[in-house]
Amino acid sequence: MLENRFEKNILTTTVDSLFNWARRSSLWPLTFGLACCAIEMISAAQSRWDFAERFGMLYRASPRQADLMIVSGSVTYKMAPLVYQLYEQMPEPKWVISMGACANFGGPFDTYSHLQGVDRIIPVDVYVSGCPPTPEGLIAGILELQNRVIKYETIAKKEGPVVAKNMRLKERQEAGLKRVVSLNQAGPAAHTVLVKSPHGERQVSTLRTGEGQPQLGSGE
Amino acid sequence: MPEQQPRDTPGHTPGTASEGQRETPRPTQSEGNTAGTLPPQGAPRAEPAVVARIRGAFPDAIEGVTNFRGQLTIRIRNEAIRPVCLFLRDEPDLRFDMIADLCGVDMIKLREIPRFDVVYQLYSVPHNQTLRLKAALDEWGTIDSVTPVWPGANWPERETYDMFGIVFDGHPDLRRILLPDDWHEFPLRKEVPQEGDRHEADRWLQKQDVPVRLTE
Ligand code: SF4
Repeated sequence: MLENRFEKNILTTTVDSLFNWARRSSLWPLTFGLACCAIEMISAAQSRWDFAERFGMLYRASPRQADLMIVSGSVTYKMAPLVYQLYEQMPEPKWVISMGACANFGGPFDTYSHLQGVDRIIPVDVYVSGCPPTPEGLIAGILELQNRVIKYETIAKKEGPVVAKNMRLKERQEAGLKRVVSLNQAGPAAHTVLVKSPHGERQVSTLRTGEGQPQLGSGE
Repeated sequence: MPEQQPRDTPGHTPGTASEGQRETPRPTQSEGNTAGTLPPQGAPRAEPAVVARIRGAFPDAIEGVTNFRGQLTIRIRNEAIRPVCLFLRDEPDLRFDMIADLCGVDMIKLREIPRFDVVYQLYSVPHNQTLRLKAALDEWGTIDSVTPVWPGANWPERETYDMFGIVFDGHPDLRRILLPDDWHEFPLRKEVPQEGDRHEADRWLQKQDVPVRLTE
């Protein structure tokens, strides 16, 4: 209806895609690094790869101004409450990239002090593999995240983590992975644990996908 | 005086490939290690001078001496550790004025009692010499802190306490240093598996109000 009724330089779009385009093009990551992966993240931001400038990213020193958290490196149990607190301090909408084997699942540190994957405490949108991932790997993760951000539903007021989770499930189904348990169908095989925190009670659930299958669900 | 390695040095196996090298006199061999305080190397089985000095001052403090490849290790009786350390630090011809490291060893796979060893790596800056002390203690025993002797022992002792639960008597501030203060285990004790008690660790996280997906 609106087509061709304006002069040049007018673009019609939905508010959702406009917002998402803006968000995708200026992801502001939180400045923090946890271990050797942080060195690689720093070098990705330096002059040789310069991914921050290319993607309109600006490292922010305060979680209040950031909407992307790059968990770069090992998360120890002692550090985990701080990582969680930083994540909670970031305003919605927010995204998390888990960078490196340590943050993904514990990596080489199958030890007493090491949290076996940061997705045990915060929802992760993109996992970047490697020990450490190359800057190119991190850039691929950022591009992947941008593809994800552009699909984010703003006006519909969907909750970010739920959207991300459903999207993940959908993508897995599209990728042909069988026997995915959807969120609402958590059967008796799922543990559900109530955790009390100052923000109220939260449900922490673990989904199982069946005997001998890797677990695909994650806690919220 | 021939400057040769004594043939009966522990750890020296006759007929090894290095035999030929050992035959050549190496006058600098005795420098840079404890052999500097020793009598010349040609006199086998002679007691190193530092051992003799300790024995002179504390007749019953020494439990054993090993000299492996020029690394002198003296095993000190638990109760005597602090006076011996003071003595080693202050005597003008010894002057072990720096503690390079201090750590613990859980010896439970090697001997029942006493369970732990504490190992002190000393270094004398004026004389450029090194020395290793060891002292043993029981699981529920304590050992005197050497932080009053070398302030640099403060954090190594805290770390040893953190990892093994070894209590240093007289330490000014014996808290955990690496793990959280209310951690539930001493992870380098042999009965603790490498991955520790993950369920306890999850519980610890929950105590910090972190909603954690629990370990299966
Ligand atoms: S994944 Fe490898 S490089 Fe990254 S923090 Fe762990 S050990 Fe370091």
